[in-house]
Amino acid sequence: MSQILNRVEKTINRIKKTDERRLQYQLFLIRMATSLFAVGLTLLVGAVFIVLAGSNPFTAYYWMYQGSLGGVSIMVETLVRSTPILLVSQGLAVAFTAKLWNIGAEGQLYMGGMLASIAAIMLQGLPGYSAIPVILLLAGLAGAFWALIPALLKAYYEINEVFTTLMLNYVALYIVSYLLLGPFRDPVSQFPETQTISKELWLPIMLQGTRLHAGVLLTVFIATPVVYFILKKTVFGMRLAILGANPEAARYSGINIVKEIVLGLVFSGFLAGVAGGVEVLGIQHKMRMEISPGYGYTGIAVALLGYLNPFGILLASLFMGGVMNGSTTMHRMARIPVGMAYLIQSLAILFIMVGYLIQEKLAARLFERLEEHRPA
Amino acid sequence: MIAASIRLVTPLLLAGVGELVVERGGILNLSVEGMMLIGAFASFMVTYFFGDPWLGVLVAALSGLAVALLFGLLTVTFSLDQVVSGLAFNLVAIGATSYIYRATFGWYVSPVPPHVERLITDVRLPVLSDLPIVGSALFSHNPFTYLALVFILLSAYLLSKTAWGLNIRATGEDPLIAEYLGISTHRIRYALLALEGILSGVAGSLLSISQYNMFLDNMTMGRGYIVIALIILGRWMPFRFLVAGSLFAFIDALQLRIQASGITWFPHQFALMLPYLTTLIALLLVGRRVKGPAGLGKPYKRTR
Amino acid sequence: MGVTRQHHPSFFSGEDIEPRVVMESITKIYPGGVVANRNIDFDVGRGEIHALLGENGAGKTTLMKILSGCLKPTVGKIIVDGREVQFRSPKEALKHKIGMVHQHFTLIPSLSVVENIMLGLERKGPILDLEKAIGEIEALVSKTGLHVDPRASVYTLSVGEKQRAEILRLLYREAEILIFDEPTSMLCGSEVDSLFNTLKQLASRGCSIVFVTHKVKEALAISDRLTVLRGGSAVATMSRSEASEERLIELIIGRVGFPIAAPKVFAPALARDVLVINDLHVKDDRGSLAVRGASLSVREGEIFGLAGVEGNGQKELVEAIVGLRAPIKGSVHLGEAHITGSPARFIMAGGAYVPADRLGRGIALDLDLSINSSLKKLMEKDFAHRGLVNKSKIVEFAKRVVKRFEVMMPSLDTPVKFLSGGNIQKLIAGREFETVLRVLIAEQPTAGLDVRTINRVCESLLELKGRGVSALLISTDLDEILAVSDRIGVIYNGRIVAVFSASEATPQRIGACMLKGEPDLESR
Repeated sequence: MSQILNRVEKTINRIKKTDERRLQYQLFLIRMATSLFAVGLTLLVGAVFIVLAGSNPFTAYYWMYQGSLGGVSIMVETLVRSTPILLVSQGLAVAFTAKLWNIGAEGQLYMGGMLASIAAIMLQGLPGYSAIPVILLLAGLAGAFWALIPALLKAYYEINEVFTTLMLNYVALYIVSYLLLGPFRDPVSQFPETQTISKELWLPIMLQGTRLHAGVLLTVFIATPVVYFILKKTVFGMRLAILGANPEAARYSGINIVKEIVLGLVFSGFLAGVAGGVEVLGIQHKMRMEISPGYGYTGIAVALLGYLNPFGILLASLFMGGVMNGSTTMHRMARIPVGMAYLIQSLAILFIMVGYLIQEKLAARLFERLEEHRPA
Repeated sequence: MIAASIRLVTPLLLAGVGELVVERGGILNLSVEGMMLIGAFASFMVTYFFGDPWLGVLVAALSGLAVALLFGLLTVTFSLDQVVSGLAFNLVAIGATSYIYRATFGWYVSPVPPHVERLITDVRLPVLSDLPIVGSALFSHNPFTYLALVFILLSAYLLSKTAWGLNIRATGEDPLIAEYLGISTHRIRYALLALEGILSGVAGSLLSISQYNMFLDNMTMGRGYIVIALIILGRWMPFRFLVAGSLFAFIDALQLRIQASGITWFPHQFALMLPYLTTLIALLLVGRRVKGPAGLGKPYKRTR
Repeated sequence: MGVTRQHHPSFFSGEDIEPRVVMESITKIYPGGVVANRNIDFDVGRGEIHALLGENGAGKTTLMKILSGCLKPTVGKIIVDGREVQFRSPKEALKHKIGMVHQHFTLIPSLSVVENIMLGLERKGPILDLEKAIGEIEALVSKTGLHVDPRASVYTLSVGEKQRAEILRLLYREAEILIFDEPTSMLCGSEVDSLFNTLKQLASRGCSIVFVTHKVKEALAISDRLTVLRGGSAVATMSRSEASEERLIELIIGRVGFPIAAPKVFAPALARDVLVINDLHVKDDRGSLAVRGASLSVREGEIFGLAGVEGNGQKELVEAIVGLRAPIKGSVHLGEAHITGSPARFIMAGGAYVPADRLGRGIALDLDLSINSSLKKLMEKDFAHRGLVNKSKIVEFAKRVVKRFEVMMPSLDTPVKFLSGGNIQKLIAGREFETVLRVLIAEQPTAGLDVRTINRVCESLLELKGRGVSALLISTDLDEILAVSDRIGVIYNGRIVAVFSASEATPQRIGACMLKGEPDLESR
């Protein structure tokens, strides 16, 4: 008799588990659907702008597709282009989880890139495998430092971080501009950029014939899982989530708010700085003013598009990278202005907002039907 | 120098008045930046193709209005997060304006960028502008400068002395109670946003067809955000905002003067940085723990 | 058991009262299926004070929300002055001269009294003439005796003054049918008396008054007629002369006696002190001193109830104990640990806290149940080993928390915001009871809970005692405190002015002390 009861209990438990898993699955579907919806709307409105420029949207998108996914080497290039965005948004995901709105990733990236180029020049002659990690670390620290100021202002004085990070963006840009036109200007070319850094300090290319450098692998295979791990599996990540959901509740449960604010913002600054360093060492091989076509801002869109989940962000940044890569082809073949890429990126963030709204409503309805059904 | 400051501060004041009343009504509208930029772009395009700067201003006002109402749709009707919505609009504004500009004029803009011949000219107030020294500095300005001052006065009066102002303040402090008492918070917020849209669009137009005669990518360079910071510094009160704005404009004019004076030892980038740094420092000194209307920035969902 | 629409003699004047407002066959069913009001008939006459009695959740507030225009009935009609009416909003109800004074005031703190009163008024022009309004309000004040300064900002007012402002707002709009929802919940003693005087005065001038309360004694003191609601239905209506305390209690609860039948176990007098608060001085948000040298100690295994009128420093005292607010002087010790000013140390020393502001402080709405259950446990080794989260431990603990007060939920991964308000309260209470190791600090512990859960909370409190865990209850509700406490302290003006043992404690004594600020040593 007891055996039968045991069996029954086990089945009930299994049913309960599948019920819960089904819930998770449904939630996931809702999120995917709304993200796709946002992307779809973006492409639609983008098509309108294409028409405004006097071209055929179908041709244009065809070329964009070809330019982003039309071939292995092209796909690799897409991946390469996505890397800085990916790295920045992973950092932003951490900050945004705690509702710390770091708008200053652009400035942090620039500071990181600048310090990376300076360090690379100074560390000339040293072997790559020892110097490169140091340079990247320094780049990260530069970005972290740039985020530290707004972090402290918010933690101790409750000054809104949106403004402070934003103002520092402009300040960073001007600092870099000064340095590039002044003390660190390339003596040979006289352009506002640093001299080219020595070959040993370039990030090694992993795939012959492409631009796939070690930094890409670092970002995709190390940074992404690490951030996921931090957010979902560590207490730190949990504390950030609580801070973001309700700062009062965070304080009341013993969380040190000051520490969390500083850590959260500084971490995202660190990754943004590293992104700058990676671009310098892996792609540009020098520091220039044009090093970032707004990666810091795109990163915001991508972080939101991916629902602050590192793997969702991976997909979203590939999308953005694809758009950027494809837009050069689009430009060449269909005469669409290069600014299209940026436009699409900014439309995406707008539509993901609407997506969030829809997702909330759907999720609420999902739970409404289940509420009050089962006690513990 | 004073004349320069006043000229520089006008767009900030215009946009700022709109944002101030909107914030008193409880909405934190970061898209001022975008509205100004779109206004600058629209007015430039219209003036370039149709030759009439006043038509440009009109179109700028309408485009600002459109953006504001869209923003209202997201934040008031759908109660989405105001900060993220505002930022989103700004990013789209930068992207869209740059894109259309290049689509129209070609993507590599020639050494001489397209520019506009006819600008909004200054108006010399009779009698007053003939006063020595003070006259040209203070009384012969762009009509919009006077307009901005008028609006500041009006907003101060509106907020403290009228029933509408009371309703606005109540909406900003506690929309739940305001609704309960029969105040239509949605209508008020939309109306304020509409006003802000028009003013910000016009403010933006001043940048492209009054202060300069061309359109540059991201012309506004963060001025919209600075406006918001100035409002905080002014504790959400119109006259204090005016003071904060004037001080800022002074720094801005100073920065331009430094650049123009050809002092070589002082890198011009640091001069350019000055406005942003000053705002930052000002926030640090004065903006600590300052709270605006209690309901500022909080999404409000009507439950009935 | 229904209500007859007859003329009833007024208890006070003895004259016949005509019904002025009639609610007929009111039924209200909420979208979730909950029947809040079931076929209720209710009426009030001119110059009558009609008390509406019942427990939390009996349907009183819903019924009055319908009458005041906040809700629409599913079935039924409302007749005012002989004409059937339908209200789409409180504003419309006011046009028919019906207004409600809420339990939680609808005043905007940063505006002045006159501005609050003028808010939302139909007006002839955009100009706001405050001076004229102030004059009119002062005239009203002298006519009714509701003293309050129209120019004062609401946040500076005392609770009694705020209530008077609310009443004035209705009177300014010429309301003649006034609904008072639990008006004495924040008042005590002489403030209650002055409120009652106001009510009688208003009634004698022809106003109809509905007095919603769960306090039987007060209802008996003031009303001409009483109606009892239970489980959504009107179970009785009677005149004052027909009513008695025992009978009313029986009708309200449905059975005789108090809801809690558990015997009290007194803590032995020799037990150690486990929570020691010494000479605390704490400032409030506005910078003035809210706690002025408070000292008290709670013994091991004891339940200590702290009574006091709201606004005497309890909020700041609790925040100082729990570590959310740093005192400028004094100390807090839990066991051997000095925990002043740090929530983390409070938790690690074995403290738990049920805040009055449950949703604001106690819960992270966007996060799921399992995280919310373990909010306090994150510092423990089992749950977070070397920075990593032990998911299975969290889930296991969450299940215990949910089970404690039977929280209804679809799954542990549900974000808490999708739960009903009552369930969220149960979750928070359950969490703290499961977390506590030494002392549980609970503000208004049974507020917002249904009778069954209240019982379980009291059982849990007594069970804590058995384990040697103590509790400090802070409440404005005397019944709550008297039901479970071993010792009762009174806070007044930021100091603990008296401590009574359970045997000495009577409602009158404690009530008087809460008001006067000193223990009344002569018993009554």
